[in-house]
Amino acid sequence: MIEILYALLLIPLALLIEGIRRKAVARMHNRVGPPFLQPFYDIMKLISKKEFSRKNLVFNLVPYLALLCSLAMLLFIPFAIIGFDYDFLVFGYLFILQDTFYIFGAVSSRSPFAMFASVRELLLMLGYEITFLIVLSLFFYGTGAMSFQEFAAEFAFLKLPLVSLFLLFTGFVILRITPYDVMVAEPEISAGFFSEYSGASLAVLEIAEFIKDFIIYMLFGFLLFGPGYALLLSPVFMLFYMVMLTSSPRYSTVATVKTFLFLALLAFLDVFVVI
Amino acid sequence: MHDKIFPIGPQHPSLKEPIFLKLHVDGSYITKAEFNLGYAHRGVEKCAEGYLLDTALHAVQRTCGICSQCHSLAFLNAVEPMAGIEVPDKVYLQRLLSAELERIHSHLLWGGLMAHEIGLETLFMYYWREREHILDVFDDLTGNRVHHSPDLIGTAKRAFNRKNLDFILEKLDLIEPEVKELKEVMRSERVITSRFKKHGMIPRKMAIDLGLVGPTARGSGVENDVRVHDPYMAYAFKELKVKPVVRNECDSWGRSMVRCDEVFESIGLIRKACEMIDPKEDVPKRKNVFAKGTYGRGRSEAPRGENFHFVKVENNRISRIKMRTPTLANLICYSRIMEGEDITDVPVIMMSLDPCISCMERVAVIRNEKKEVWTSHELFEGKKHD
Amino acid sequence: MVSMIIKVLKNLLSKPFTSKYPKEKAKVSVNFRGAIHVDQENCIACRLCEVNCPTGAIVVDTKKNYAVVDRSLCILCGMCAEVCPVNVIWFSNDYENAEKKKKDFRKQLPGPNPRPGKRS
Repeated sequence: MIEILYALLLIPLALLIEGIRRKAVARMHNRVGPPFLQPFYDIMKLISKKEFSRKNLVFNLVPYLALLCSLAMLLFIPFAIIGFDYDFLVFGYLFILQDTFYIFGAVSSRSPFAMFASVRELLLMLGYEITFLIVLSLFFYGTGAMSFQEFAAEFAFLKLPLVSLFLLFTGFVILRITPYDVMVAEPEISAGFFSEYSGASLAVLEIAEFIKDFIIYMLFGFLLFGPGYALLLSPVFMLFYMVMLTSSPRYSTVATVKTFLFLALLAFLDVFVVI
Repeated sequence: MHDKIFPIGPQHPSLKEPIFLKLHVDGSYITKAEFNLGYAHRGVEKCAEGYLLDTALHAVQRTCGICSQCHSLAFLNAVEPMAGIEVPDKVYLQRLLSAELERIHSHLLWGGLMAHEIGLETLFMYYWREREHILDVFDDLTGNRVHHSPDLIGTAKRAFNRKNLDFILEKLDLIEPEVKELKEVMRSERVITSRFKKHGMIPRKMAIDLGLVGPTARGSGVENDVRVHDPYMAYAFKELKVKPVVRNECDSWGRSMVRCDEVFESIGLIRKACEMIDPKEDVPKRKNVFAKGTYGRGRSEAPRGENFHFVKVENNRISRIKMRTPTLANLICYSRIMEGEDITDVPVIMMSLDPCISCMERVAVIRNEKKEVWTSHELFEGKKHD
Repeated sequence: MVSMIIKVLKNLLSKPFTSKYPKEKAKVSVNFRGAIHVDQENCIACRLCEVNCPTGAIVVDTKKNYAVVDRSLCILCGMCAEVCPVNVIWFSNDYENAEKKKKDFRKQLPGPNPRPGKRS
């Protein structure tokens, strides 16, 4: 029970981190940027807006399911007090489940933009998501741990360099930032999955995304450098992704899939290291 | 996803103005493209009817937010010979300054939007940061930042003094190296160039056949520039010869680079014009003008291409204005070049043509209270051209 | 890409180009055409401005004998100031011209022209 309370307390933290991210990106753009609390204002405004609802159960449920997935994933990252002591594979499942929910929501909305986004996401899932699971397991099997609580390896990226590289690149897709963000490519397909959502459900979706971003920053520090560095290094990873986001254009779908297939092949070379 | 319709517009993040692109897609490839117009009719032509000439000038300038000076130049080209007014050189040079600054402003704006389409938001911000300097110059020169209406028939509202000219040169020195760097970013990145090259092909022959104008034609190797072929005002001066930027790539890349290079061409022109202006000379006082002729026509080179105005005057008041803006001339090629392309490339191709929809939007025809809209097919065939 | 990264990092550490608008006022030039003012005492109600206005924003009130401006219609072209024979119409540098209610746009801004000799 206390874990869930903590998870709820972490929602404002995730929003605040998004606020800091926006401010920093704005500075990189050479502008002042929104106030740090802007995500809170956004969410409050979205909740107060009238929702354009559909008589479609899947479509209406998806935001809440996605939020649940995000919250559940949050509990896996072991801070001092909380943390699920379950198999890391559950984390991987939750991760894929969330993306699947997005695709369900997108397809059930019947919007052409969302449809295109889901087609692209499915294509990319072939490229990165399956490999992501394998990469996760490599990290754990390589260090002999079975859950996040047991994971204690420090500087694992030295042992598994190619896998770490793949993991860094997956970050772009998961965070939905350029160069690998074809599924939310704004100029072509508006907001992709979220183009039909409005009002409170959009707010819930955004919270889910923010929490996921927060998890990713933590996860990479955790896996690559060790549990002790997770909190410390999360701003570094955030900065890395922001610099990449602001300095690279969007790759086309074909180029993205090619890159990820190539990286996956590279990552498989590391399997021999583990075995 | 077989033969689905993928709508872009009338409201879409990649479009800054309303136009409806109906793309028939097979997978993500476009098999057929249609477009619908008629979402933003502003009726400037009708509005200007019955106006005095000076008043109409200010109405006509409001046709477009980006190329307002070029509209007023075309209008003045039509009206000034009609009224038989002699215009001093200084006024001509001042107009050239505004027009060329506006070209820089338009192309920088375009560069930002293009950067947005390829997903490089930072470049977008940097381009618009440079554009801001030009707006500051307009503020200083004319008093307004966007719809700067510096012209009157036969004269200008105020004479530029030494301080103004120095301010222009100072700001140009500021933006020139920056814009060069930004262009270099576009050129050096292979990911960016791959989005442009070999996409949205307009062969030279097609460009001539369809009568394309402006950078769109110049990117296909057609040297089409009103400033050169029909020099008007200060462009007719010997010292201010324009060397049009022509490229032979015929794709989005060619068109984009034409725009990038024209910025520097314009900067050179402004520098020359600044030297030629006598800062102490005053412009003549405004006089009431009386048009002697009945109709006049004028052309000017807007940032997007040739701009044409036809003005008919009765009893010293405008009885009819017809404008042909460059986007209307270029509109005809849209659906042709979209076919066979990937959805991913549509925003880039669209932006490489630099459409200015609300400036062009005069195609919707209301007949018997039923709105008729030209489709691409009808534009090709010219069925409704009567 | 490398040049972009250098630029981005340089900008992260430098001062932003944009300003914090409501706290920090924007700088405009002396020539800036902002709010439109009419010097009601010296207006001779000649109606030249009314005739020359492209949008019909300025109308001469025949009872009060001065020009009345509807600022929601004004496009700030400066034509009225140009034709005015006694230079009573002038533009201040005040750029904050938005109003919350439509009728507030009809509130008149009187005051003598600070630069009567100069045009626009």
